[in-house]
Formats: sequence, structure tokens, C-alpha cells
Amino acid sequence: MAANVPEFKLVLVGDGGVGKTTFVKRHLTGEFEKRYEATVGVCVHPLNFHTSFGEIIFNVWDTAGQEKFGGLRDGYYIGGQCAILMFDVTSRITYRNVPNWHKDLVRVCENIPMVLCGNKVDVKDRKLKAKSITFHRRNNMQYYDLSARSNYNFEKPFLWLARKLSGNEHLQFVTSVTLPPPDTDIFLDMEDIKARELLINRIMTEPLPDYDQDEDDL
Amino acid sequence: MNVVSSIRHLNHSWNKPRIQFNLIDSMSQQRKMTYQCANMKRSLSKEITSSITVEKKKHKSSTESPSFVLVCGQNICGQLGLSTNIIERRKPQYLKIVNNFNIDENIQSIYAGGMHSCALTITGHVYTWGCNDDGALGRITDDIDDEYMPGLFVLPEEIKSICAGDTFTVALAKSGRAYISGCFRSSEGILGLFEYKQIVQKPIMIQLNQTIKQIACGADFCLLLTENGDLYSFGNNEIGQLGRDAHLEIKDNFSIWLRPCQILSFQEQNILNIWAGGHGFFALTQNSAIHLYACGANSFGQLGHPSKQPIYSPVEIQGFPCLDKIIKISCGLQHTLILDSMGYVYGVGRSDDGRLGNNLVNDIIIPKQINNLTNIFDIAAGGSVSFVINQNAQIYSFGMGDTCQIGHSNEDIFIPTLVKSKQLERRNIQHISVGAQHTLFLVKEER
Repeated sequence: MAANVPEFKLVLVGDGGVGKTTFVKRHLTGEFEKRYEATVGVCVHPLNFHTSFGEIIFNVWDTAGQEKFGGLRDGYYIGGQCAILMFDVTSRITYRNVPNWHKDLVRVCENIPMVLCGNKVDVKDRKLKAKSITFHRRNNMQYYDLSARSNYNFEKPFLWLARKLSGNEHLQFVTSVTLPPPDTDIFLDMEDIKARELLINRIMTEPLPDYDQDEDDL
Repeated sequence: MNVVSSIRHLNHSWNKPRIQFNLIDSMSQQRKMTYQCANMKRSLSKEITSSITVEKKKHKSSTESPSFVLVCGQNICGQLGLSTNIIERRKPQYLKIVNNFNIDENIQSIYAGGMHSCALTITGHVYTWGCNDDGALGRITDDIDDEYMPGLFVLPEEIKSICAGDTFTVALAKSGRAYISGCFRSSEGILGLFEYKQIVQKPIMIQLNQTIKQIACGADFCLLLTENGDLYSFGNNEIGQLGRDAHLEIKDNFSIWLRPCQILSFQEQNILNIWAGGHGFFALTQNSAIHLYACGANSFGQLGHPSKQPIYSPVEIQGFPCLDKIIKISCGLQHTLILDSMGYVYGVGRSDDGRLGNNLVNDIIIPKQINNLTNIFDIAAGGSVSFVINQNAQIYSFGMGDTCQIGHSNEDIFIPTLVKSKQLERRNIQHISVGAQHTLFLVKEER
């Protein structure tokens, strides 16, 4: 690896089964160079991207199932410089811990850039109404739909984080990452996906729902 | 007409003496009939069942004022039962639960699952609402609006108690039979219900050759205490929550986890009570003295065991104050509340965000009394929040505010703070149940 390439610790969190490992494994060189950190029990994938300002590496910490022990300890978050919070749009119970992950990240890492990702948008029967994902907006997070197995939007969270970390909104990725071909059993209905993108963008610009709609406010 | 008569028949059978278990076959037939009813046009079956409710209501001379449900927190999956354009509520709001004749149901108990909710009427009917991705509602929701409105969880007999976890709902009938819908999840995603990867969209009977007395649910497992005093468990066992010594069972043999099996370490014990929540459970037992056992996730010391490691088979918990005075234990995801008969409350486990009161920041291994709480008659922990109700029908809450489920704002509350709401004025608070991002309150008008 070339010297002086800026590296950032990226904390990847989400409930079991949402596709965190599938997602991070799509980046083939990162998968090839991954290393296991036995002390904290995590797998670190160095994912490199070529930007208009040079190379950048995200050291992605994948929990390797640690969350099943009933919660991650601070050691996992310490030194985190950015984060991806992932849930499964087809099984919304995986959204249950999003506020908890966010809280832990803020407690340990303070004000780092975070992206919320809804994975498995390739599944036709998506349940989560885009409108109801408001949590990230109130907390200055970015939201992206993902389909890890079809590569849809794979680069988006990294690009957004790279721009935040560099402080440059014009940063671009100049070469695309080597990804494996989309899984053959996945079919993306692009028309549907585009419609959803438009919907999400429109909702993002709408004002946040007002608290004052409570029946009573003492 | 056929449907109506079969339903009447079912309803009639409620009043008969307990059906023996060798009649399981005929039961499953009854069940089939009920399913047929449920499969009929939804509105029709609703109408029929509701008419039963009305009939039964007439029989009960109810001089007591009816109980009803208040809700607060996140509504992103319809777990508040409020309309789809409501995303969250900070203060307890009234939730209308009505039968098909638009008559308010009288609710006897409530239970919040992870992202769904259920309520039991005094007539023994169960309503469910909220997230149905994994079948937890026990009814088919074709339209998203169906999830946002309390709907009947159609069961073949009168129900006496309800319970739920992250993605499943369990109903215990007066007969001692229990019904379940949904599935269990593990760290790999969907684990299944009875069969690996199986999701059950409509309630099926839990096959057990014993009469069930009590049910307790954690996020991803279920406990069944029988009349004989045997304790059974099924669900996810990744961190020992089934108490069956995960090391002894063949690793990752999910079909064994998913089958209700007896927890053998309690065989010689007289179990007084069980409580479950998150990924662990407690059992209070008595031989000559009273003992407390616990099992499951303990990464923050939430079981009161100093190891901070998962506990794979039940161990005796030593540090709890006055075991003989324990009235109730309530488990959050990573913390536990204990209520004693003196009306005092203790907390153990993770204390971040105020969930154990007392302005604490470190994990608590030995239960610590929560200051300023006296004359408490009920407690409810869930997710990262805590509630207590005192003898004056006042609610105090504390813990993480982000989900708005503590009934204040979205700020963390570090010391127990009175919940104020117009909906709580002049009303008796009977019970509180806490989900992952929402809270249910059972209340009635003050008399």
C-alpha cells in the first residue's frame, strides 16, 4: 500500500442478518486484504477508493456477529471516524436498534458523519415506507437505499462519507471499484427503483413532521 | 351460514369443561375451520367475531368503567395503531380499539412486542397491530393500512393472557393451550418457528402434552411454565437464552432450538415465577428457601451475575436483595428492574442514558435501589427505557429519549421523572408495556 494514503476507521453496525458482511465483501480488494482483530473480535476490511483528490482507504470494521452477545462494547466504536448503520427494508424489526447504534456512536465518537442504509431493496415486497424513515433526518444523517447483492448504490455511502471527511462537496470517485457481477438470482426493477429514489428525494426536502400535532402538549 | 354456525360452535365450546389433550386432532380441525373463517372476506369474519364479543359483553354486568389503551413513541411500522401519517408521538395518546359495530372494546391486558403491539379484551379476544413483516400480527395484512389499525388475531378459543417478542405473538387460552404466530430471529436473520426458516402468518397451536400455566417471552425466545411446574423453552439459543445448556446441544442444530423442550435443571425445583425479556430470563424457585436463577445475555451484567459473559445454563444469582420480597422483575434489552413487596425498585445492568436512574454511568452488577421511588406497585423495562407506577397512579419514567417512548420529549431522562399528559389526568394507570421504540399504557377512568 502506498504511503500517505489517508485512512479512516469506518464502523459498520446493524442487526444480525441485514447483510453487513455481504455488503462489505462486494469490494474485492478489501475482501482480499481483510484482517481479523482478535482483541475486539472483528474483521477489518480496508476498502480503497480513487478520488479526484487521490486515494482514500476506509478501514471497515465488521462486527463478525459480535452483536449477538447482546450489544457492542465501546472498544468497537473507539476511534471511529465515520459510520454506516444498516437495516433490512424487508424485515423492519432490524430498524429497532437504529436509535441505539446511533446513540452509542455519538457517545463514543461524538459528531462523526454517519449514513443510514436500507438494504435488500431488490426484494419486490419492500415494507418500510420511505416517509417513515425520519430518524436520520433529525440526526443529520444521510440515507441511501442499497442492494448489496446487485451492487445498487454500493459506492454512494462511501462517496458521501469521503466528501464529509475531506470537507469537499465536489470530491468524485474517478475510477469505479472492482465489484463482482450482480448475483444472478437478483432482478432489479429499475423503474421501481427510480420511482423510489424520486420519492425519497422529495420526502427529504419536505419539512419534518411537527411535534405539535400531539393531542395535548402540556 | 356455514361459517356462522362453526363460529357459534367454537364460541359455545369455550364454556365447556377443559378439553383433554387426546382431542388434539379435533382441535386442529376446529382450528382449520377458524382459518377458513379467517380466509373468508375479512370484513365478514370480523363482523361475526365482533358479534360474539357483543353477545358476551351483555352477559357480564360490567359496573366497572372500561379499560383502554394509550400509546406513545415511534409509529413507523404502525406499532402505535395510529394513522399512517403519524410518525411519532411524544405524549401518551388515546388509541381507539373498536369492534365492527364501532363499540369500544374493554381491554384487560396489553403487551408490546419489538415493533408490534397486542391487546386482550375482557371477553378473551386478541387485537394486534404494527410490524407484520415476519408474521407477528397473526393475520394477513394485504395493505399497509391494515398494519396501522388494531385487527383481530383470530383464535379458536377464549384467551386469558398474551405475550410477544420481537417478531412473534403468543396467546394462552383458558384451556391451557397456547397459540403462536410469526417467527424467531437470530444473528443470521430469520431462524423460524418450529421449523428452520419457517414464518407462520396465522396462529398455530404449540404442541405440548401438558397444560400451560404461564408464558414469558424475550426478544427471540419463549418460555412455557406448565401446571405440573415444568419449564419449557424454544426459540433462539445463541447466547443461552433457552437455558438448556447450549454447549450440550449439537451446535447450530436449529431444529432442536425451535422445538419446545424442558429445561432439565429446574426438574427438582418448585418454580414460583418466571420473567423474560431481551435475551435472557429469570426464574424464582423455592425448595426450603427461595432462590433466583438466571440465564442468557449478560454482557452488561443485566442478569446480576458478575461474569459479564453469556450464561448458557441457569445459574443462581446471589446478589439480589431480599429474594423473598421480589414481586416482579422486568427486563430491558441490556438492563433489568426489580420490584419488591415494600414498593421499592432496584436496577441492574447497563445504566447509560439514564435507564437505571440515579444519574449512573457505569454498569451495575449488584442491584442498586433507585432513589426517590417509593410505594411503587408496577414496573416496566424495555429497550433502553424504564417505567414505574406508584400507588397514586402516577407514572415516572427514565432512560433513552431518542424514540420518544418515555413520554417526555426526545431528551434522555437520568432521574425518574413524572410523566404528564392530559390523557393521564383523572385516570387509573393499570399497566405499562414497553416495546423497542414504543410504549403502551392500560388505563381506566378514575371512579
